[in-house]
Amino acid sequence: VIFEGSERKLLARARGGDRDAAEELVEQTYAVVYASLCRLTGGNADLAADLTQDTYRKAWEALPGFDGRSKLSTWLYRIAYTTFLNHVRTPRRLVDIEDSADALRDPSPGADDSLSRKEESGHLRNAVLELPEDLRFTVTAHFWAGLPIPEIARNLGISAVAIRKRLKKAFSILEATLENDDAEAQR
Amino acid sequence: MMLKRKDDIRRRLTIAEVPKPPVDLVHRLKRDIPKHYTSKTAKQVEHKDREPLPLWNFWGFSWQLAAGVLILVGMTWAVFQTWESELRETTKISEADTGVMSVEKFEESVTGAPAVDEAAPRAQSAPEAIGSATRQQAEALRPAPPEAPPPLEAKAGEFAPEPPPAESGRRGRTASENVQRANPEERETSSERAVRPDKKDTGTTALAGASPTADDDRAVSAPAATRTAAKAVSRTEAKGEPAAAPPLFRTSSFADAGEDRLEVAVKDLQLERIVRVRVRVDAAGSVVEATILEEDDAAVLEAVRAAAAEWRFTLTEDDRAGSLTRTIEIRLRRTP
Repeated sequence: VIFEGSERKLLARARGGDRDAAEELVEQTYAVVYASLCRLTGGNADLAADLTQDTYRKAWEALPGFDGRSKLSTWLYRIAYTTFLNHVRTPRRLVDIEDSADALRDPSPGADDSLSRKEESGHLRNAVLELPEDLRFTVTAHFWAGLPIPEIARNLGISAVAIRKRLKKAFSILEATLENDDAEAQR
Repeated sequence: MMLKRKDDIRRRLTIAEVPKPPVDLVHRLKRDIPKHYTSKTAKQVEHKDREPLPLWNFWGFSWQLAAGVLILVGMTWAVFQTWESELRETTKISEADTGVMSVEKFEESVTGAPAVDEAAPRAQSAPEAIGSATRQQAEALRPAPPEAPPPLEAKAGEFAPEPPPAESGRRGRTASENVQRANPEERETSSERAVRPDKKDTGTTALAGASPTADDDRAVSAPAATRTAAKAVSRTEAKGEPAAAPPLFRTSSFADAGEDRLEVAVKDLQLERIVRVRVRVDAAGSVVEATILEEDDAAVLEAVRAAAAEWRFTLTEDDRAGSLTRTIEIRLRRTP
């Protein structure tokens, strides 16, 4: 967590070309960005690391245009989310994600429970990723990136009530999706 | 059932494991920081390398020092200019001023004689004396009262050899010059200021060879020849040449110098008075100028003027080098 005062100072120094400040910003934010990307990618650590690297490259380019309306972490997650979507929308990459999901399966005996939990998590992640764009970002930002509702609302330029409505709607869709998945699995 | 399902979804979304980033990720991210982000020390070094060395650092030049020097030089120049202009004006004035005045000034500067006698009962500067003399002269020009009432002492007809106590306080310390009574000789009074045609008579009484007129109770102007001679004497003395025999004043001096007060017995004077007179004496011991100070009584003035013919001043050995200005007291008493 970066305090607002120190974050602003670091940002100001980084905008002025201070490499030390830029490195300090990286150290304070990269873990959260990586974790959110790791959840978005379904636990693919290497892909999350690559996407984290891409996220920060884009961030350095876009840093002069950062108006400071939202927190840096929110702004970074927005970049990371866009980076992930760009990666997912690429057909080749999508195949990679499926392959990586397969690779996550532990072939060792006695790991069925763990596998079933991972499959459940995979179902949930797929259901989240199939949400409409506005709901998907809200859910991932709030639950996977750990951003508070007011911060997401500020980043999106809408009210916190609208965010809550989005979350409620997203839960309804996720619930329906997961029920369908369970029904198909029982068949 | 619906709420339970939603809570389960929320829990599954929340409790998702937080994977730890790879160790080398942070180094990769730092490595990707663009090149234009430079460290502070490197930036400072680069800035110093890029910036040309200032002239004032190289030569120890300081703008503050330069400004201070400029101000100092300017002020010195301004003071010098002011002083020079004042000196020029003073020179012009002294060149334009001719006559006895300049000679007197030169004389005083040469001899170092003070304008007012240090031993005078009341310290009085020359301008004050002139001012008082001017007032006296104005008083003298007024029509005299028909007859002044005789003082109480005169009415009583008493004669006391010593001055009254009220007058003794006025006397105070007398002059250092020795004033002695001498045989009566010719008396002349003239105004030193009257010598100069552009100046008014300030009431200065000079002892000269000409006799005063009867109606002049204060100061009598000397003839033109007398004035010219007085100037000549003064100028000769100013040049340092000893005046062999000033033609207008007596040159004899008394050897027994010991008195600084002159007692004059005056006929028909109804009272006893102490009159303070400022005299200027030349190197030869002759009175060049005498000014009656602060005396408004016409009868007293007349008595002093008459007694002036009998004055003879002598100088001590130390004072013989130059002319001196002293204030003496003349005690007027009735003839027994």
